Amino acid sequence: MTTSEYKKAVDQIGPRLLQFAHRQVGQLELAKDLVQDSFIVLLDKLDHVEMAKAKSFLFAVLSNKVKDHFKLLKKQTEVQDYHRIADNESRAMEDKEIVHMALSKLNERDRMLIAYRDLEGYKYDEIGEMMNLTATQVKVYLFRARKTFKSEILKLEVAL
Amino acid sequence: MKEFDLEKYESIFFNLIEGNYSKPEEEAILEEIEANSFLKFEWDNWQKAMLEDDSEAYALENAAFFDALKDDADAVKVVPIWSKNRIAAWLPYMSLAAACLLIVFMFTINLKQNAEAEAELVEVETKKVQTSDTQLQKDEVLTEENAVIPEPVVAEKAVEPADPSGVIPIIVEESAPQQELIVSVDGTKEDKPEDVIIDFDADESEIEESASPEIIIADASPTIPPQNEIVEEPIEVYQRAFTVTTETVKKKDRVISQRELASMNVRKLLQDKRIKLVNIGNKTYVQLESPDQETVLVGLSQ
Repeated sequence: MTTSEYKKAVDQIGPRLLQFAHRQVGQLELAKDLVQDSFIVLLDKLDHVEMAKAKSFLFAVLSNKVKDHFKLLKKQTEVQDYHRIADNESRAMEDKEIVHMALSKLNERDRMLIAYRDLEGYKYDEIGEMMNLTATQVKVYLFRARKTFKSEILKLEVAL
Repeated sequence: MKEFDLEKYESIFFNLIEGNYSKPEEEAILEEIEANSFLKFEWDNWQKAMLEDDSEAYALENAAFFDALKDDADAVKVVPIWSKNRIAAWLPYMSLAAACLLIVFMFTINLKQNAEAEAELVEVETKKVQTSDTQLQKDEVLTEENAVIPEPVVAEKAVEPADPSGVIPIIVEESAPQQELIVSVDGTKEDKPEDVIIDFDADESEIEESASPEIIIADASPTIPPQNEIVEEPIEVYQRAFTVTTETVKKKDRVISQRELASMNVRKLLQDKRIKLVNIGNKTYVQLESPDQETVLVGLSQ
């Protein structure tokens, strides 16, 4: 991959990576850091990655970095944010924010599955390849993830 | 059509969201959902559990962030100094510039060398006028035997004619051998410069800045009594015999203007310098020599 192809990848894949990371970690600045780290990894391996495989490479790197992030971060922080928002009945939340909050209630695997499927349109086998799962496992986990996601949204709507 | 399985409605909704049904199956399920309020409520909740693609909004709102990511590529990739792209692209232009500089330098050196080169050599025809060995004795009669009539000698290299606008070229002779000189205008045979009778005062005042000046410094022709002048004594006129020598001397052109010529102290020039006539090409010049100064050649006429 050349430098010009790298810059093209930033324009085409960068926004999608940022959206994905933001949906995973819930914080835009943290998501930017994770996306930047992912592109730095790509720069290190620029000569070994082809342009056609840049998207899957970047998403795989970002997924690992998101996992590493959550290993170091207490989930309690996200729960606290949820309760703080829920207690503030006067605060108006848009549907987008409700979805975002509900998504943060899911575990890492479920968030990634939903993001890969809804935002990037990956097939079950592609998601399985990136997350080291079989296609059947991806489908099953994704089903459970959507059920949980729906329940969390309902809870937030009821709470607000 | 099969009866909608309410126990498995969530799986049905999941596959419907995932797009795993065909078009006819999808339409049938939607009809069932619309017909059942509970299913409709659940279906609305299931549709909320789908993320929307907002990547375009992310791209617009975070453009500076992505530009910085692109700049990282330029910062990380260090271009080697001797890379082909950087050096090879400039080599032809550098070579051309070096060649032009070399040509200009060589041309400048060549001009300088030409300027410093030896002056053009010209053959100067010198006519000794009325020297002791050429002058007729007072009682001697000029005959064909003792008359030496010089043949015209044309110098190989001629001096450029004077500028008709009034600039008179003066040829400075750098190393002409000393010769006996003196022009006598009254027929005497004296060799002293002070014996040269020249109305140089009149010459100086008569020197005008004309388009075609004619300056006569010395008249080597036989004395002709001025008009309207009473001649008390008869003037003896001799036919002079000339000896002609041709010598090659260095020529150094120095052009002076009429004004500069007029400012010359011709009287002093004539007092200090020894005078002789020289022929260069078709022009006649008076050569003024001085032991301690450079020789000056003055054109007699245009």
